[in-house]
Amino acid sequence: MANMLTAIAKGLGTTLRVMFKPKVTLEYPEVKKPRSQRFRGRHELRIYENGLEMCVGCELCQVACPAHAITVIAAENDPNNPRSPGERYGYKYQVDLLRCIFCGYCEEACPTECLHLTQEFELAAFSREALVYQKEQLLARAPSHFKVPENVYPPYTGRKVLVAE
Amino acid sequence: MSQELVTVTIDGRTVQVPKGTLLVEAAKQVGIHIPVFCYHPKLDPAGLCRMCLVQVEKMPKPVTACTTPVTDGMVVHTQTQLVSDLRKGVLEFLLLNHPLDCPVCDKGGECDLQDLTFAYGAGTSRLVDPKEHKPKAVDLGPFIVLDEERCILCRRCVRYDHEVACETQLVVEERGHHNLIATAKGQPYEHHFTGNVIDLCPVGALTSELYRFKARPWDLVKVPAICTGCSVGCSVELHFRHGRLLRVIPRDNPATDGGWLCDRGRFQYQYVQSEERLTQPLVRRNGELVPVSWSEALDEVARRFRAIREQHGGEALGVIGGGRLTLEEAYLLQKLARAALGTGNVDHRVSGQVVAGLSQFPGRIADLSEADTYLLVDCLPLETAPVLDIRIRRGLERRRARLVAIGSVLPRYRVRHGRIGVRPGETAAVLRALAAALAGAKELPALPAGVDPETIRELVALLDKGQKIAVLWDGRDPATGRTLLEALRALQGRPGSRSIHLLIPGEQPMSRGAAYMGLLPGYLPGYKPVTLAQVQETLRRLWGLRQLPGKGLDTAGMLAAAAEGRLKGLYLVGANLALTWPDGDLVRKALAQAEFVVVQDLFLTETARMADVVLPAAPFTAKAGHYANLDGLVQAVAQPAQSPGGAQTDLAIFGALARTLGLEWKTGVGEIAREWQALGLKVAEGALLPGAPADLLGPAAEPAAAGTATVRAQDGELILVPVDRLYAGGGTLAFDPGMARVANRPEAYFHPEDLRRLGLAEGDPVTLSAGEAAVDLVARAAAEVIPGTVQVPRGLPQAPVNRFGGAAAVRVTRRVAEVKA
Ligand code: SF4
Ligand code: SF4
Ligand code: SF4
Ligand code: SF4
Ligand code: FES
Repeated sequence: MANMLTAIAKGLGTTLRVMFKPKVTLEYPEVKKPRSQRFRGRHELRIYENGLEMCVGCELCQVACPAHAITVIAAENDPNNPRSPGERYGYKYQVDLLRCIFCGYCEEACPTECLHLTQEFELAAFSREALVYQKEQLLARAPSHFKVPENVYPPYTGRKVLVAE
Repeated sequence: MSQELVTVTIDGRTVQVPKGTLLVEAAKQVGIHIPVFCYHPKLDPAGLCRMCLVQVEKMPKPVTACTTPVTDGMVVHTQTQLVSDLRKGVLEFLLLNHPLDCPVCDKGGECDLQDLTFAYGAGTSRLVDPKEHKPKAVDLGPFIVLDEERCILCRRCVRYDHEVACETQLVVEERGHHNLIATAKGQPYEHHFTGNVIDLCPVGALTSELYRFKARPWDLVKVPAICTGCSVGCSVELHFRHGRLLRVIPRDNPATDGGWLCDRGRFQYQYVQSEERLTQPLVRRNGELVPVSWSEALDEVARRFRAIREQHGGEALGVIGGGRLTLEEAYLLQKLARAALGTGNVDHRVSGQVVAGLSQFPGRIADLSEADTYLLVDCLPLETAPVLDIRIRRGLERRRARLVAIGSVLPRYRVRHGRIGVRPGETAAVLRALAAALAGAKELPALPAGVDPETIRELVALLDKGQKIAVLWDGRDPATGRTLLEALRALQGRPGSRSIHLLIPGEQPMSRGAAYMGLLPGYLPGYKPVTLAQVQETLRRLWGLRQLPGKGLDTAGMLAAAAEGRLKGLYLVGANLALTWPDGDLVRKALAQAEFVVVQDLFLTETARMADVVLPAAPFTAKAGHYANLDGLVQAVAQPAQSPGGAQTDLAIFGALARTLGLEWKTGVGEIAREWQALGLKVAEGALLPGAPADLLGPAAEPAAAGTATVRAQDGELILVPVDRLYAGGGTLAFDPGMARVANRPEAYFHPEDLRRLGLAEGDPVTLSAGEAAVDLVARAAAEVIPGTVQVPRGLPQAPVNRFGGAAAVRVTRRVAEVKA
């Protein structure tokens, strides 16, 4: 009998103690847990401050990816309507977020600092296809602070002809 | 290089190599890698880049390993601090003005500059000044994009162009850091072998227009294959990404390509995935070709062929084609004709060539690299088997060999050579005179007008001097073939020893293999005459037949019979006769008259449009099997690179057709190999197929009849000579989007004198006409055209020269420019 009473008292004691401790449960989705600066969420393709895409379609992110989640197909820029500085741009860009293990290797591999993993982690969807993100979904909305490195990627003026003597 | 051996010690490893071996090569043998940029084993050493500097004991300064031949007792160090510093320094200089735009550079991932910088370079740059900028994305030629900034001036491209292609179009302009790669006159870089500079360029300065930005080397699935562009059969590697063929590169095969490809072999691959490829069988219903299922199409073919056979006998059926197929497919096609359709009317020849390889004077492609005398008879190797021409050019440029060309078409070489130009049909007369002169006759037979007997004597003297004589002939005119053999036998009989090698570039990539597999009337597989009782017996047992059909008709015979209504059913496999057969009218009449025509091809060709059933065949990328090239060399393709898609491989179609005809045939590659074994045919990688018997050239005609001009031109007329051009033709080339830029335009080539005499200028629109036939072309002057003749490319879809039915006397009229609306 005494045993039982001490057990109840102990239990109630725990309840009382916890009641006055600070709350840890968050009212998700209204309230979100702060994430680390280096959190690795959904991918984003940044754009230069002048609005050109930073991706040059080099495929280095694709080859770095241990999960084979990325597919890049490059193409030649239209000099009258360039998508990126230089000759080449990422014509097709896909990330299969179901394959991705969010290791961040792709970000590390990117030579133009275009690709980075954002804070966004709410990546649920109703179909598998919907989780293969296309370039339009991955492109950043707003320009970044990066400037075009014109010495490496001079503006593409199209094919040149050989100069005659 | 002598066979004397010298001993050299490299980094403590001792090796014996033939005297004269270069240090880089000797190091390779002991597994020591000396980094190089400008050195290439197939080019002459140049010593330009200094990347290969090594230290040699007793030599005061470091030496370039790519230009230093080893000497006995040489002691070499490649791993010292000094060498390492030198490499670092060389790379720093090379990278000074290098744009380092690897992410957008097509070479990234297979770039020597990347790899060697990674291995030997400094980690950072000390450059503070701005880099020198040069033009990027320059269109160097139809297939090549040049980035001047990335060029490290190794001059491999320029040296290749001089030493191998023997074209001297590429040059280096300006000086020092301002050096630029350019062409001599600023003209586009254009000849038949430009693509090779892409492979040679160690950096991303020269890249392929068609492959530009399509993939990275690590994406590519690489499948070894054999090029089916012409009868040389170069070894290639096909590179696929996402199932699409993106580029073709050579695999060095000393027996065929020697490491080089022609531009057609390298760049003509997009047809494989062309939107216009047939993917469904078509059957004619109410005059229209409509898509149907495979079983429906095959049922229709089987039903109609069977009906014709029952009504008119097997002789009323004919099979033409097979010169583009594998050996397995060619074998099965003739078996299908003989055993399933019961007809002896089979022939692979579709363009008027009679033989593609003779058993006499057998020659190998490699012989061209050692020959000291070339005799070209009516043959343009550059246009029909381009890679052969690389060996010939080199032989001429290096003064190793001399060349004489005889015929109604003459090649163009920069080096002085002998030429005997005649009218079509007269070549045999020249050769007869040559044969007589070689046999020691005092009095030469009559020579065609304009040929001096003295020329023949000079030719005899030249041939007498030759130790190794390579003869190339186009295999078309049987009389020329017979007299050529006569002349070669007479040459063989002369005092002194010499070897003679005859090569006949095939009209189709696998002409020689198809002939050997029995796609010839009167010859069973292995060139066994159909009349041979013993072979008949073997085949009857093997194929389970009571009766083997006898000697049937050849292509000309079949077409004539069909035009007259005697031949009711035609099965054309990979044969676009409407464009390739010398007499286009006959083809049209034959196809219209025949009751039932089946065409099996990749595309809806001119011929397929006239068919009753069209069966879609798969391209070479979907096939495994064996190919035989022009010297009879058998090469295997072990694995198909692609699935056939909606089309089927020819092998699968023949098998399915046999089964639809109610035959229990097993038609796998293995079963066919067993049949070959039973027939005593040796077909395996590396085997050499024998050449055709000379009877194919027909019986010797009356000397008076053969060898005279086939046509005579009246006043104001020229003699039309159909001529081979690499980029003409309506087959795969016409359906290849990548080739449109170089495809031959409808042009007529005149001798400049004739052009002037006719009051025409370069670029004038002209009409050639003879009787009913007329073809519109653009006039061009070409010095190699024989005066009195006009050359027009064979097989141009826009201007089919076969309207004239071969060589003809044509009237040339200037077309009044059409009024543009
Ligand atoms: S985060 Fe890692 S797994 Fe995900 S795409 Fe990038 S490299 Fe691949
Ligand atoms: S690594 Fe960067 S620049 Fe290259 S393809 Fe990926 S995102 Fe684009
Ligand atoms: S040539 Fe080589 S080093 Fe230069 S940009 Fe291209 S890949 Fe990079
Ligand atoms: S273009 Fe390429 S091959 Fe030619 S010199 Fe420059 S680096 Fe060498
Ligand atoms: S490789 Fe020896 S100098 Fe270039």
